[in-house]
Amino acid sequence: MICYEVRKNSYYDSVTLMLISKEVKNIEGVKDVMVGMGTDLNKELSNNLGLGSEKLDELSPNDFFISADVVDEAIMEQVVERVNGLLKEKKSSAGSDYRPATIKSALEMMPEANMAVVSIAGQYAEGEVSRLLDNDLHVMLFSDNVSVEAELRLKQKAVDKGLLMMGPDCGTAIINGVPLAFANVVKKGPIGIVGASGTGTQEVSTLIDKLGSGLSQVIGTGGRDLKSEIGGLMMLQGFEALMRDESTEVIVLISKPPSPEVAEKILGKVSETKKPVVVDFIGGDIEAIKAAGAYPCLTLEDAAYKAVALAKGETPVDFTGFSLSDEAIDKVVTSKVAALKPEQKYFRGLFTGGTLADEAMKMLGQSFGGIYSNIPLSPEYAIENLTTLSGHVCLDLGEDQFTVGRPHPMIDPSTRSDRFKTDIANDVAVVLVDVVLGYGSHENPAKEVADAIHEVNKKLDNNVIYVASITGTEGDPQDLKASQSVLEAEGFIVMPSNAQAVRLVQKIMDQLNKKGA
Amino acid sequence: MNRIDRLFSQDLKVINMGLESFSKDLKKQEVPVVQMDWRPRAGGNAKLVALLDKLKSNK
Amino acid sequence: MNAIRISKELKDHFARSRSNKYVVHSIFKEAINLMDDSGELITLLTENKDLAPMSVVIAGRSSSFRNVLANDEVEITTSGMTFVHSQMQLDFSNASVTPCVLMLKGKGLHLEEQITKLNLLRDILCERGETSGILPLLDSVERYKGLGLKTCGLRMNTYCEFIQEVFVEILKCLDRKAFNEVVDWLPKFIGFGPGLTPSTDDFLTGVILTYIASAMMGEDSMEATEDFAQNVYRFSINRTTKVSETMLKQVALGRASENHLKVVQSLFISNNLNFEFLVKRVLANGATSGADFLLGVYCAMVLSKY
Repeated sequence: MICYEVRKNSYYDSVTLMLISKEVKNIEGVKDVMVGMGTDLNKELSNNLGLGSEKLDELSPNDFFISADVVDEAIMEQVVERVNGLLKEKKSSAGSDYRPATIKSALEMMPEANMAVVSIAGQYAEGEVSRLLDNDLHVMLFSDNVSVEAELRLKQKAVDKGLLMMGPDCGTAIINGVPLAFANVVKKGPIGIVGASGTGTQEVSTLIDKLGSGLSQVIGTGGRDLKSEIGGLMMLQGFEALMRDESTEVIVLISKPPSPEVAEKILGKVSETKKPVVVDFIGGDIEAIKAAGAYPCLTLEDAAYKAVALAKGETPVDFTGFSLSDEAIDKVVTSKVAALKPEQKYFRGLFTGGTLADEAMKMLGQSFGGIYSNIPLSPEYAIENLTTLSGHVCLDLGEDQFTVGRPHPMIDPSTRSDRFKTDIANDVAVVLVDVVLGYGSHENPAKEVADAIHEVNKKLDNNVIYVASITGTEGDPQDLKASQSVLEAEGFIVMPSNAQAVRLVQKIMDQLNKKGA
Repeated sequence: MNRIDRLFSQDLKVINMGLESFSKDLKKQEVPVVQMDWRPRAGGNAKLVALLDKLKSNK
Repeated sequence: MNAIRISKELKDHFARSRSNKYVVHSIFKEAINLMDDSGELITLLTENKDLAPMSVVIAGRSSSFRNVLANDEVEITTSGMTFVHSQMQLDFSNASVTPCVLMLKGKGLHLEEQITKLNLLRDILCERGETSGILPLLDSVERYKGLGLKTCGLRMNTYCEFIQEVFVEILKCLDRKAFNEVVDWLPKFIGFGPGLTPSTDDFLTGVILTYIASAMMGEDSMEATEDFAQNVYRFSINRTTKVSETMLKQVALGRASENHLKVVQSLFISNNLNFEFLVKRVLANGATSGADFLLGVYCAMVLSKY
């Protein structure tokens, strides 16, 4: 049977019309279809195709029509539904912009471009980035699998030309208020960050936002920048730029512990600026930082607190507690631990953010026994076999062994959902997770976590304690408040930061051990 | 003026080479962005790419 | 919103026109059309789009048309426009003014140079692959002219099959420069194909712009060409979409979008523009519009140069 859908005086661009025609043809039960504007000749073609009728004759050239030969009316309903869906989708998705294949033609399209974001396969990155730098573009290089030698060559070129070359493996940056790749929507403000660790930088920047202050610039360097081979070239470059930048009043530097000679070089710069400098060399040498006149930090959260205090002209103090009162925390811990069964002994940290996993292990240390990991603090705790876990375990699920052939778990939460099924058993007492919001991340990671845990719980005999922290702001495209509620509805205790979540886990494990003794 | 200092005083205009989701995110924020249709040169043959680069630098 | 560019034709129109009230006619992601009560269509474009005659380009960061309400009333003032119910203002007092009309200044190309560019154009069109417009008819003009080229290999679609015969009849008339006879075929040709500007209209726009260029170079009679172009426009009224009608009205005055103009320009005079880039920019217009326009340019060139 022939069915029609007509929209009087409706205008859609031709890309949309084409897409509709293609998609509708693919619906089962649709034998033939024609989509177009009601001009005489288009109507004539419909007649020729056996898709015409008197109803079409009434149309004017400015009416949009679909005429379809379908098996039954139910199929036509499907067609109309699909068309409505496509028209809605089309409004929000990208148009048919011309896509240049070479840097030369990209620059012809946008001669005043000043930043390039590169996420092509690592083996091709050096050549392309080198060309971008030749064209005086700043670069954020998201790709990994770039050799140390290539990184050094690119960074030397960038330094010679006074350009930023953020990366390789740089996941986050916020330049002039614009989040690039994986980054959160934060308020503008007086604090500038140079970070060598992606999620660490996201955690600090979101906490600064939550504490009511804001960011001037967030520069990424890539994780290897502070190793001796690279010598901190980009951190120095970024640090110097923030020293000169008038809208930056406080500077925060974040990295895993650098090579000693690189640390010395960077800390040596602190005396060149009057701006206060907050340094978190996650688990690194605190005395050296103090000696250089900078402010050392205990956690990423502490870095945010200190930076905000300094921006307000206050004296920074160490933040080692909870946002809630101790009594409130103790009450939660006592009631949760009381409900555990004797066989529930173990800790599971299942992280999408590498730096957050690292911080968790460093904070917990040996306090309740060694923690096995794919990124262990010492080699004897390396996990050989990822399929059967035993003892306390903390995993960085963004590492290569989990992401072969699938996207990073911040984009595709199913990697972690699968681990929940295998890694949370009846002997587990407490599970700690991170949920990272912001551009680049999955559209609703909290719901994915909650749904997966809901399924896991159905199969467990025991009540496991679930603790989470959310790295995100009110401005992020995902809804921060809704994210928290969906987790809480599934029984999660949601803490304001990774550090506080870890401290809560520590209290739970301490109490559990006391109970056991 | 240093190029980074100049960058900080301009509106960001981005060329995105690779993952399209990054340019979609930027478009949502109304940041001007050109998405490239990047493909490995010389059909992805790494040796040939290196050769082409060499030829270019000898010019 | 701030306008960064405005076409000279539109600026002149505002200065001349007594009517200053428009209605939002259609809203797209990258374009908004406004119409006045005489049926005159003007267009607001984002920075991603080429400046067209009777259009304004809006600055990048404020390029969002999301907040414009359908059917809103728009009032034109001396320095901008006000969207009455959408509560938005557009300021074009700082916009640079560019004419969107064909200009051929410079040294004319030799025939060999023209053929080289034409071959490049053909290669790009053939490379394009599957298309739902009338581009696959490219083979028929080459066969008609007996060029003996390998076929472009584009697969025919229902649109091509339907219009093929009329298409060839029109080619024959154009080849004899028998414009009056073309006009007789128009009722069976105008307003056909997918899209907001149907394929055959895009094709005719390409043909007309190329003939105008040719006449400007003294190769054809300007009078006959203009007469033909006006006839095409008159025939299009109420036979095709409003947007298409406007396009044909403009091209009869030698006006078209920037890069469309530059492609035709580059086929006649020596300049330092990147021809391949321009062609690809034009191709990126709509799903088939750019390709159908370029087919018109190619046909007109082949008919007069071989």
